[in-house]
Amino acid sequence: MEQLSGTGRVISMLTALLLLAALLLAIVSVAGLGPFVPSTLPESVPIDYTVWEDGSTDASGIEHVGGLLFTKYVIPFEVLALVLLAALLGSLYMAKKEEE
Amino acid sequence: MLPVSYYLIVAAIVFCIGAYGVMTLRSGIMIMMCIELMLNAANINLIAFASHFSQVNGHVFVLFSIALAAAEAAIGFAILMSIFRSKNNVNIDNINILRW
Repeated sequence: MEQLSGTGRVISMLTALLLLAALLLAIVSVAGLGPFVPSTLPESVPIDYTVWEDGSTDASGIEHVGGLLFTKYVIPFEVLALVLLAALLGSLYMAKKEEE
Repeated sequence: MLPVSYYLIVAAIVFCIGAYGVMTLRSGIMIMMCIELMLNAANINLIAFASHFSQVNGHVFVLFSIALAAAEAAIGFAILMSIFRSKNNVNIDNINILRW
């Protein structure tokens, strides 16, 4: 596999490990390893879980995801359609074979 | 329920693996895969907090983020394809035409 070799690789590994150490330190010092109870963030509000027709409950909240997607976030959703269309056209143009 | 810090630690580890890969790997396709790893680390964080606060807004944000990652991957691979056509490889050490 093509990889950086020599000192560059060592420096990259050191950088990645330092970043990991900093992130872990920040996480453990803020959230700890036990239950995380923040003071400034909103209270945990239980989702009223979906009950399907056969009586089974769905704890994933997928119905609420769909509901939010088409109410509160409907503008970003439609803009995302335009972004995907632009990406499609752009990638088609860029991957097109050069004309002779 | 697992403490939220466990998810954050996993996300930090995944992010650092991605960052290390971006720094050391020299194949364009591997670098794009590592960028996806870093994006997915951010998604893990969003989902962890969404699940912790029992709010589904985070899930919707992750959906948007995944869609944008797909668009980015499409554009990236199109660029890599056009580079491969002109240079016959995707080793980024050979791609320095934009270097100042």
